[in-house]
Amino acid sequence: MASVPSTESPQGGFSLRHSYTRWRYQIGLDPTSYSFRLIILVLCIIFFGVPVLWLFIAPTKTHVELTNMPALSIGNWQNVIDSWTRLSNYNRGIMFTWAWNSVWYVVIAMALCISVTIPAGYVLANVNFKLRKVLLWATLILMLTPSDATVLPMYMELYLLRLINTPWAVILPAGLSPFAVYLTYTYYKTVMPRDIVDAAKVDGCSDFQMFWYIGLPLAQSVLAMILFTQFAAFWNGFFAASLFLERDKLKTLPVGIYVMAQQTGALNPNPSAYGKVLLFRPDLALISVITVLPVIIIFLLSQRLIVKAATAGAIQGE
Amino acid sequence: MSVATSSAPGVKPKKKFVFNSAILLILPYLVWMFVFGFVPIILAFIFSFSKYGAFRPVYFGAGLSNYQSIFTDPQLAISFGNIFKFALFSMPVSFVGALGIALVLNLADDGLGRFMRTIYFIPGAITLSAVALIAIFMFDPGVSPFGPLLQVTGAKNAGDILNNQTLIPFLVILRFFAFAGGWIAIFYGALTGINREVIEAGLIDGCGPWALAFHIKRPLVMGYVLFMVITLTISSLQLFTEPYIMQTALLTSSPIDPYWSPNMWSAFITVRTGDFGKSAVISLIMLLFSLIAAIFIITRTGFFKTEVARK
Repeated sequence: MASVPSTESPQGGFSLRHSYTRWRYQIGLDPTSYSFRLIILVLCIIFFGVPVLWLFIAPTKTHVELTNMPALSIGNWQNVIDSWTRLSNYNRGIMFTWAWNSVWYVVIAMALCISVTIPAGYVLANVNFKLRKVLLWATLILMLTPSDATVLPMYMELYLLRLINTPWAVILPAGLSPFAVYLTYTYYKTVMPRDIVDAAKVDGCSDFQMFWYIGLPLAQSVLAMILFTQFAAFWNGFFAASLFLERDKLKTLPVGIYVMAQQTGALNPNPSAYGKVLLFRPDLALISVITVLPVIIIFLLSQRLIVKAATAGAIQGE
Repeated sequence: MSVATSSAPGVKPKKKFVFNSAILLILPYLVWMFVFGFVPIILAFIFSFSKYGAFRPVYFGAGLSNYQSIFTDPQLAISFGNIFKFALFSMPVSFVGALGIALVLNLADDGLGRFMRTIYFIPGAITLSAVALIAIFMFDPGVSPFGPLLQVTGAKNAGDILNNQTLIPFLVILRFFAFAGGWIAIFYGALTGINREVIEAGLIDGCGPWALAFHIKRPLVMGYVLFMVITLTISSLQLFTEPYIMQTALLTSSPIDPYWSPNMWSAFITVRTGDFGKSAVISLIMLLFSLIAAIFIITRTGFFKTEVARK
């Protein structure tokens, strides 16, 4: 393999020409191509980044400043505090109930999901039994059928079970995550050493003991992948939560954003025409920031894991 | 789960059930799969033949009338037409956009590219209700950073821009904003996995970076197109959150129908009229499309290579 050109010129000392040669070697692009690539990427960042940036800046302005000041200019912190006060006072502080609901629903849903999926993925990967292929088929089909497709039939079932308008309506279905089962299955297929499994069987280990002593300690990496991906899925859930939880006190933050937008007239550009306005557009931006911040932080921290999980099935096809 | 046989000579082997602890491990999944995976579908099937009136439902009391009612309702063609139109616009935009950006990112492996990829990925972390809200703001000429561009159209507020006619292009942009990051990551992962020797052969043949990206790398990841097309079609079918929020939260002049997409139509019937029979028929139609697409992906694309689905 060729070595990276040094920035030092053959005569000793640094020269601009050699620095350029080294840079070009590392990047692998001529300046024109590099500039063109940069322009395209910057245009894309305007599309993907500016709306998110705007969302974080909006609460620093008043309703009027939002229209009068340049869109990406920063207002002041007092406006953030004012927005926070209005949100806190809205419907006797229901925002805090929504936030707490989001947290505890997600924690229990994730615990349930992991307890169900990790052992199932292990068994599908390591134990031979008659219905194994049928179960793998069913898992793949359920995984590729978006959960929103079954939300209304699920509503009918939960209605019969009298679970509508209880937290269990969104927590219990979270235990079924075919994606997490498939991820665990492919993970164990790859990492579980066949020799150890065979040796353990010869030594008289039961499947449960093998899972407990070999499978579970190996599960750390796939567990992290499931935790990160499912956290975002559960936290961000809207359709099922908006349909299954009709009472305000049971709702979650993503549904809360919608409720606030719908009930307060905050999206109305002319608030005075709407009667008594309880919230304004910067307040909606602030509740959105509060809702999305935990997921964005986790996304940034676990980007590699999430991409790995997302491509787990697809990349295998290559 | 596991079966043992008696081995007495001359006697027909008698099957004896032997408890296997693996049952304990997979049992919760089987229960959840049945209760929350299959029971809703079975119920939808039963409800689709049931009659709902002012009193208790009469199971299997409706015969085929719910199906007849839905299949003769002009809304069926409108709702499904809307989402097929959406899918038709969304697919080329998503494919060309995501693959194009991934190819440009992959031109060089530098910190800038990795940083940009992270930024493109962030909208995917945002809940769709917040994405819909951001979109309403972004299309409001009064507050949007893109206001000057929007003012050219003569619009004064978001309601002037977002209506039944503009909803599809709007949703295409919104979905691309929210989901392109994930697709870019998938394409980028595939591009970085291309054999180094293939790239070097292209370079020896005199390919520049752009020709290399378009003529060598792009054809090698085209296998993902089919996977993307089917996945996008299934997800398009389920459209709910964004048009639902547009429909109810835009208080100025929201002309978006409450039954714009099949899921909205089905939810509207369920919640407003309590007629589970008709909404079950709509759900079953969507499930049928999803099922066909899922089986096609498993058996034909080779993206989920397991013992059950070899290419």
